[in-house]
Amino acid sequence: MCPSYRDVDFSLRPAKAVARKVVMEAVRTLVRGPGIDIRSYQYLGLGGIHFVDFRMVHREFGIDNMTSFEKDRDHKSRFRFNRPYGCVDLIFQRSHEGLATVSWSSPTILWLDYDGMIDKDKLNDVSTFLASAPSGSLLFVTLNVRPEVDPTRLALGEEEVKEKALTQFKRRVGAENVPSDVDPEELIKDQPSVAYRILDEHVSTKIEDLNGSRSDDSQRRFDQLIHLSYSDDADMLLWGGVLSDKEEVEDLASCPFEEMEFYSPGNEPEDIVVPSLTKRERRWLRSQLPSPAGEGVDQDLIQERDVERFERIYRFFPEFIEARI
Amino acid sequence: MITDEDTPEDGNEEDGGFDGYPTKEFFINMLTKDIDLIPAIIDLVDNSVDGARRTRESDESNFEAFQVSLELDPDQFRIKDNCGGIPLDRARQYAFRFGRPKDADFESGSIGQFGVGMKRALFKLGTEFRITSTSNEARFQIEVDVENWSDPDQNWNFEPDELEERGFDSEETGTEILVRELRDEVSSYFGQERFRNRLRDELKSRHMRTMQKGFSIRLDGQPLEPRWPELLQSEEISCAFKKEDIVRGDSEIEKTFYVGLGDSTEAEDAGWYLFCNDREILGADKSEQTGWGYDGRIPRFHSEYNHFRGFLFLETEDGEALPWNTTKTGVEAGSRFFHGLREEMIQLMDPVISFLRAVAKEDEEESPGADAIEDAELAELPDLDIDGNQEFRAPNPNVERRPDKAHIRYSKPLQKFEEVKEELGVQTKKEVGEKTFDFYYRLTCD
Repeated sequence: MCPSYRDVDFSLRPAKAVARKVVMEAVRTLVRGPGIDIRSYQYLGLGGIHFVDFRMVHREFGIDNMTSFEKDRDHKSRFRFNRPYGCVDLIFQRSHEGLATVSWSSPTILWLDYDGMIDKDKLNDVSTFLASAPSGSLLFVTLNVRPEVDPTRLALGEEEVKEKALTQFKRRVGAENVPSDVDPEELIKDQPSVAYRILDEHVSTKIEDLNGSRSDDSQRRFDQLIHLSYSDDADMLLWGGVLSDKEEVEDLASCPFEEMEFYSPGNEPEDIVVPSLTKRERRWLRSQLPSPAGEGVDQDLIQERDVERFERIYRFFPEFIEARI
Repeated sequence: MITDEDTPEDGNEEDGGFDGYPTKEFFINMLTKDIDLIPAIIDLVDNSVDGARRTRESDESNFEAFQVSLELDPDQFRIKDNCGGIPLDRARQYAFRFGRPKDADFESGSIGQFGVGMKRALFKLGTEFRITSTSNEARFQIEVDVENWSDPDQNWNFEPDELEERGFDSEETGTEILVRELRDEVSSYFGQERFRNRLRDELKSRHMRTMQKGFSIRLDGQPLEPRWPELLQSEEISCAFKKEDIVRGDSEIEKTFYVGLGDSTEAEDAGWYLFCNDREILGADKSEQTGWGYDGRIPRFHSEYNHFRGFLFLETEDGEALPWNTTKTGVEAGSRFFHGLREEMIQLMDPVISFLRAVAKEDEEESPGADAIEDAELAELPDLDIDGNQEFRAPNPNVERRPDKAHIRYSKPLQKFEEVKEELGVQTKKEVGEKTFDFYYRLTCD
């Protein structure tokens, strides 16, 4: 058990803050394409009560066609009250009902920032996006990827526990969506990689189905841009990409996605870790970046590992301050 | 009818081998077993439509001059059309063979391309038939007594009893088929009003489009009335419309979707209707084929969804590219093209189903959805107020719109949009919308 001053204050969810900035960075990269008119986009998401992503998107990009899906119908007035801008529509339905009712006539940025684990409804949400969104749309999905079953129970009866994990998983995700070679042990020891595989496979299959009735010229594709893992109090996966139709790929061709920070098109997720450093330590490191930081630093002072981690995310590092207002 | 050609029944018995040739009886039984009487008769009407398609002028959309009439009597069946007759080379090459040889001229847009239809239908109906065909270059008549033809000593050919090769005027062209010695069950069906009604209904839906384009079908002297399907529309409710040309390799297929709400009372009318080159292939489909209960986005059909109507029209010159099965009674389920279409159906159906589900949950006092349906009016598809591709629209009580703003969304033809954009000197669609609205406002309300 490490000393508490080595821990980050989880209630502030710093890793989530970094993840959020990664999403913004992807949108920023999209905007750099000369054919892209960001103000014509709509933003769809799960704003919750704080609407953090909605605020960020509107402030930075000026998008004023925004919709938040909210499943809590019992406290509508509270959500209305907390609506950050007049340009945010609220749909009091779960995303899998609400997505069917929004208009898809504008290019869309959709962030399905789920709290829960992968399941059939979420896969269907992805399907709806792939089928309905116009070329140039972005999709981001956040998933909880904790082990399917508490790993400590493995000791009690391995086979049984593994069986249970697999059955439960199949039921939740839909047996047809689970490849036959999924190892039940992975569900307990490496859920992120199974969840990723399901998602990736699902997207490929859907895109292929959709293309069956599309012209040669307007064949769809989905290109993964982000694949990250991070953890504040729960293990999370952030995944996302861009949808394009062949004839409109020109508009997107000049968006420098490959140069984007945290561009991660591969099967292995990049791990975001927020090192525990004091404000002073961060200031000191920052003053040297982007050149290699912390050379010759006394290991008692700052661990090399933390220096590396900081280097990786310093531009996205969330700074929290308490202000007297 | 008898010729001197070698009969295939001369097996290899002398060599000690086994005769592998099928008997004609077996063939006839197999052929007629898998088709019911009504589809068999419809196959014959299909051939007439095919003929009309072949014969008509380059004005593609018209079938006005063409007609077919059917007479069903207990002792005889008669079908007569003026659709150009059976060209002599077709008759010689394959109209009277089974299946279609690979080198046959590919027939553009033909729905009767599989070659088996006529023979199968005739064998199904009875055992004596007479076919008289007059085309632009020849008239021939064939009389067949199936019992004689089935005789293993006879070969598999048919020979005409009369053949006149000379020019004929277009008004004289056409085909007449007479069947006598009807099979027992056929005779009995022909005596039933209920059978006639079913045949009439099936003909009406399967050839709805051709009839709307002018083709005339008469049953026992009575012309069938074509009717367009109808959808609800109002200020609050409008259907989804999507029209696209799909170009894949060498084929071009025009695909048109209408999706919305119809008249509810009949659950049997609800579902998806698919037309391939004017022929109805799926009617009121509520199965997984068209997305119901397929993957969870759309539930299995339920009476809550009685209002749902989806229409998909596919038209092409390349009949082979269409996703239908050999009997033209359904889709080729494995086809990649059809998988793609199903995805589109699900995507278009989703908002309508969502709306109907919400309506089902409304209570008596507050029912904006049900009220909107009540207030809407039915209009036939060509009369709907549609201006380019559009999404389904209906009130959604779960949406809280921005408090002080109305969100206006509409589509306009691209050409006009570009003109206005240029006039206004702006860059984006949003600006065009805002400026045109402001312009009108200053002119009238300010």
